[in-house]
Amino acid sequence: MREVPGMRVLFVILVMATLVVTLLPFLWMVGASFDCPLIETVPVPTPLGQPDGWSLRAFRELWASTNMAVPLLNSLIYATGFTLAALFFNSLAAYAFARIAFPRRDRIFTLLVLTMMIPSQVTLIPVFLILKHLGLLNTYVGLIIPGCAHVMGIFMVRQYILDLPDELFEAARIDGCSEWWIFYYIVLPLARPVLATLAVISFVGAWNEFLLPLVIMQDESGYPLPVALSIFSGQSDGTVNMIMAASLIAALPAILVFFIAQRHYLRGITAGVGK
Amino acid sequence: MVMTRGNICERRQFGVPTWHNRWQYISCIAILCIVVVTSGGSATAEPVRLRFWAVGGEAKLLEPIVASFSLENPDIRVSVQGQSWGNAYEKYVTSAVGGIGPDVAQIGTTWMTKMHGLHALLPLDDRLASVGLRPDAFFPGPLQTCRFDNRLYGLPWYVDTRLIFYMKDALKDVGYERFPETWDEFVELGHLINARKRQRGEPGYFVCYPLGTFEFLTLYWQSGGRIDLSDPSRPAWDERAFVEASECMLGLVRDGLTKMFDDTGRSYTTDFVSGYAPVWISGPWMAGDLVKKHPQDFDRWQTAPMPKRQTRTSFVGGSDLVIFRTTRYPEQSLRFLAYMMRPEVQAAFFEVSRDLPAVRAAWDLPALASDTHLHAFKQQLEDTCSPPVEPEWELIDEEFLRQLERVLRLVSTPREACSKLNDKAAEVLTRRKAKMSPWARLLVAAGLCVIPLAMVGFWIGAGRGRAAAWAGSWRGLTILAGFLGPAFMLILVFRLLPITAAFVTSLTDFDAYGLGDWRRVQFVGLENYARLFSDASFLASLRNTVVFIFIGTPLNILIALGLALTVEQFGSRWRQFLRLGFFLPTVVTAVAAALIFRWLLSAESPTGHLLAWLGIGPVQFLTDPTLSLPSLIAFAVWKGFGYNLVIFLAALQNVPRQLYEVVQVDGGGWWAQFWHVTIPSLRRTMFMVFVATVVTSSHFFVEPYMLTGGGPLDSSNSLMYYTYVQGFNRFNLGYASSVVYVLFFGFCVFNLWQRRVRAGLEE
Repeated sequence: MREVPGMRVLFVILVMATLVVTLLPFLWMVGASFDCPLIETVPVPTPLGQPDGWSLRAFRELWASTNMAVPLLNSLIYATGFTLAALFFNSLAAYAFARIAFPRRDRIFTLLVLTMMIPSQVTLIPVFLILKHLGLLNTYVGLIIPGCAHVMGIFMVRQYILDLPDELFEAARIDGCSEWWIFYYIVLPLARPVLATLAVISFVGAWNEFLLPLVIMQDESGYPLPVALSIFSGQSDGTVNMIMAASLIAALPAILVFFIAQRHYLRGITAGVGK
Repeated sequence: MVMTRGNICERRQFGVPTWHNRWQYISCIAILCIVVVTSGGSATAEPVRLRFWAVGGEAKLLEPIVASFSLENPDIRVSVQGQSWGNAYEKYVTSAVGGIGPDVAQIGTTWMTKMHGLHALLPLDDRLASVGLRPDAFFPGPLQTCRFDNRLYGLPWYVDTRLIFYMKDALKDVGYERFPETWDEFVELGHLINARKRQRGEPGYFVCYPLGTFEFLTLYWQSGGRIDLSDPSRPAWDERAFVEASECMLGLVRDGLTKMFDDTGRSYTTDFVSGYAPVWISGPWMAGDLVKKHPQDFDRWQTAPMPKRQTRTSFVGGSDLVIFRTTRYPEQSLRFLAYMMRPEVQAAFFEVSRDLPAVRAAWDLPALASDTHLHAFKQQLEDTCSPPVEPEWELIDEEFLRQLERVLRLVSTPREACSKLNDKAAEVLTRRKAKMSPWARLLVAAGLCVIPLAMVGFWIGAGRGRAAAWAGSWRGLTILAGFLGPAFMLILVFRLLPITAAFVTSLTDFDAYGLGDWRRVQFVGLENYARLFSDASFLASLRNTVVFIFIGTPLNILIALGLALTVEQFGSRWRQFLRLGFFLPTVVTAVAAALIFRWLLSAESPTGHLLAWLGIGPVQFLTDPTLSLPSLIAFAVWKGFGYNLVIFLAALQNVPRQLYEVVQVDGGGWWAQFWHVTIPSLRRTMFMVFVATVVTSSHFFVEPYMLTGGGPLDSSNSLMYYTYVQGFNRFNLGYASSVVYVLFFGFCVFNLWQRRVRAGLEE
């Protein structure tokens, strides 16, 4: 839209106010975890206090009372494994749905899309029982494979491959290239941006996953961060500052990944807009 | 805060008073060292590792006790794993079903039925003698929670009962030296105290008597009532006792001796010691809180057993210790159990945790005997009762809660409520007795399963196929299998199969006992679906989900769109920064975000201070039935709008600049530009965003799960959360699946509608 004279100041104030309200919970979280004294005493919500009040006490106490390193490591293994598996399974399937002609392809795909409507809580118990029979409870594999092939990912990559020029594939086929060759030497290099997007979305999603690990991982030594965080806060002996410090530790890596790869992340979300 | 609603107290049933200091630790360790020295230890080779699950704050407090056990038994190492009360139950049930449980576990008394029903627990009768334990060492009421079919499946560890707390001076004031022994005297005392209060113009009333299910059951037992679930042809509830108990409760409210809802904004211990309500019916946690918060008033209050009606029975709860059937070390586990039940160890654990010992002999040790506040507890524990252990109780309990609320709100008379309750009990119990359903029923059910699957198959089969040159050839098939196979197998096993299974389950009465033994599962046709629409909790969650969609979605979209239009005006560097800022909440783990919000909405947070500063009293954002849903909507909008904002920003980038210029040339202002260019260009995106947001909103689950637990009074329950509670807390898998499929049918309709609209937009 064209700029409106006189409105600019109003816009700036409006946007900044909303931004502050949106970010206040984070500022408070940071303030509380670093022991900012103003948080507790001053009635007016001041997120940033004098620097001399800041300390790492909450983190030290947290480290002394629970070992956050284990869940942190678990989360890393889980999220990385999940991302790799998601890339592998979804890109292969996406290519099949985009470029290999087979009977009833579109209807099967529609059916898969329809299953997205059924939330994962519903299938949690059957999934649990299936994993039990496969002997995969309490393992990383059991945590990764139920969710890593997901229709959302297939959909995204398929859309991207469909947008690649047809001539490319026709030419390759005329030259006698096999589907594997095409996939490996044409599709994978060209689809790198969308694969990056898939990777970032998968990583952040797995990092934040709560319900599945809670059920699958029965042993404390396998808890990822969200589960450990929820149990820590439920045991009620931590102070607010410690709980906020733990929340900060749990939230930070996902935020970091997002900041570093935001270009890819946002492209994944806005795929299909304005076409 | 005056707690007069039962549900608050029920939640606090397991409240852990973290009331300990260094001296208690030291004395505890000292006692344990003596135990170790006197009993001596024997060394063997490789120590066995026992896994012990403890719940709540107990896990931390157990360390010194467990350590001294290992000193005494070098062949056993116990590793304690803490669970939080919030999700321990799910963990226990899934571990029982999965066969991956611990060796020894602490279990809330109310979960025992289900754990026993899942065949998770090891019977202990024959083994107790070998470690020198006798059942009569325990209080009789708590032991009853471990007994099924006359066999013991656990031992009471610590107990929790309700009795009377009173301020001595308030009683002296009206000429009472001791607390009344009988109910009539109790009511008389109440009138005296209330009269004195009025005379002096003091605020408050006689007693804080929580009007919850536990307190009602207490009165019911005291009237000589018993709940008999053995025979469906007999009424389960005794009408006379039910009416009497209701009259007692209603009488207290009618005479102004207690209040049904009262929120003073002060802590409940302050309300007690200040004499606002000088008498309380409460549990052991109150003693802990009083000592912690009002140490100077230590000698001003005292405890007393329940006043006698026919009996002085009170409610009993607490935790039991059990051994899982799957354990590899039953003998070692039993030794650990025996150790935990030693009077000295029980007393030592009391000193650090303030949890009341379940072993009688522990009460004679100085740690407990020296505290006069505890004498009444010991007396009360000799006469306690707990809800029935039959698995059907859970279903009757739900109805009981509903009927009790109707009685208290004077919607129905006690007699009506009791007969409704008996009807429900008879219905539930008859269902238990029903034999395997006839073949016709099975056929109908099979038909119901096959028809949708056949329809899906037919629909796929009828699709126009794309002719593929290689169709049918082996080479083509292997290529297809190579690309599609891996992902398709996973989706088939972990998506399609569970979804189908869930649908089949929705036609059965699959419950926790079905998980333990699938032969108990019966097809019930469409009964689950029929039941839904007379289920008040389902209707409440349906309504909340609809409200959530209709308020949350437009709010989300309006904020996102408004901000997107504004942010668009900024230069690109600023735009990027703002986009990041607004998007941040969507990336954060829901668990962490909910923790932040829970804190921010409490009175102790900056928001609470700000509201107090503005002169607005403590607002119960999450526990007030009128505010809980709006609070959750606010949380969801905060966490979600950044997503849509980013989409709108991307769409705005694609609006052709020339269009604006055309409008400008025609003399249109910013409004005309907005109305004739921006909105039409965004139409498709807006619709897409709308559909996506509706779908996410209808799945709204994390918010109630993390923040409110669906309460209070179902005011923030959602369809997904209700499914989760039914399916995962109560393990009524059949019923839970039917809830989801109602939602899914709704989706299918929505999907058809959105396809039509989308087709219209494409033109």
